[in-house]
Amino acid sequence: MILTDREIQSAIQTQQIRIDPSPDAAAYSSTSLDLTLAGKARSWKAPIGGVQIAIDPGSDGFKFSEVYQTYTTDVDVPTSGYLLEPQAFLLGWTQEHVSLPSHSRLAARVEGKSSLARLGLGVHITAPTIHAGFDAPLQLEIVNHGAIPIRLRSGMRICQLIFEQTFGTPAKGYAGQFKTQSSG
Amino acid sequence: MCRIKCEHVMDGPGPQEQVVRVKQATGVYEEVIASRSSISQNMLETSSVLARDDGKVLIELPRESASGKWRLWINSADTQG
Repeated sequence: MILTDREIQSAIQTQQIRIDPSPDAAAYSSTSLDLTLAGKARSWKAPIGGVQIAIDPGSDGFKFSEVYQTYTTDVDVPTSGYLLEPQAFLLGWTQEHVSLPSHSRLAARVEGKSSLARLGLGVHITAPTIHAGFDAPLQLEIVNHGAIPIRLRSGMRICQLIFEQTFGTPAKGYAGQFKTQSSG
Repeated sequence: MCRIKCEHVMDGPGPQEQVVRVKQATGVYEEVIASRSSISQNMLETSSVLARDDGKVLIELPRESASGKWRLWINSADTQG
């Protein structure tokens, strides 16, 4: 079940959803909440020519840190703008820190905004779920699928959150008195 | 809640994140990107223990690990709580 604007506001008031800084009234739609782009991002570097490399994320003990340190670099996204070239891939984050306590029985999905999608801008890659227990700014996998460079500005509305009620409390969030009770 | 031993690998990628590695009961290390707020004194906050088996406990990580795992078997000796 998707939360409406009134239910989202109610959940924020009761701290079942925590968002910092607090969203302004114009950030809501009937069933979503807009979040904004932070001023720091991470750009991916293409490998040098003539070198064949491959990432192997399915291997046991895969080290994301080595890929990250070798093939990405810090970039600023100022309010004056960062130009995202066609096909470029950027790891960005929201300015807002989002917390969904496990006991709140809420999860969320991060989705793009149609106004940006029609320009060719994608803000996540197949992993939209904000799981119960999440507590951080949201990572965005930003790609310009269009043919024209797109200027990204810190503080611009970059994505929206759709909140959903979970059916029950996940095991990791359940600390009730019957937690260890067995049926025997 | 449970806490498991972790080692700092690097800061980032997010502004309030760290990459840490945790040792599975198999001995293989797994990298996890976690919120700084979930790490204290080289211990990573996880779910409470979901199952126990022969000196090992099954916990759920706060985030999906680098190789895609949410739940890991960890030696009990590497946990608190």
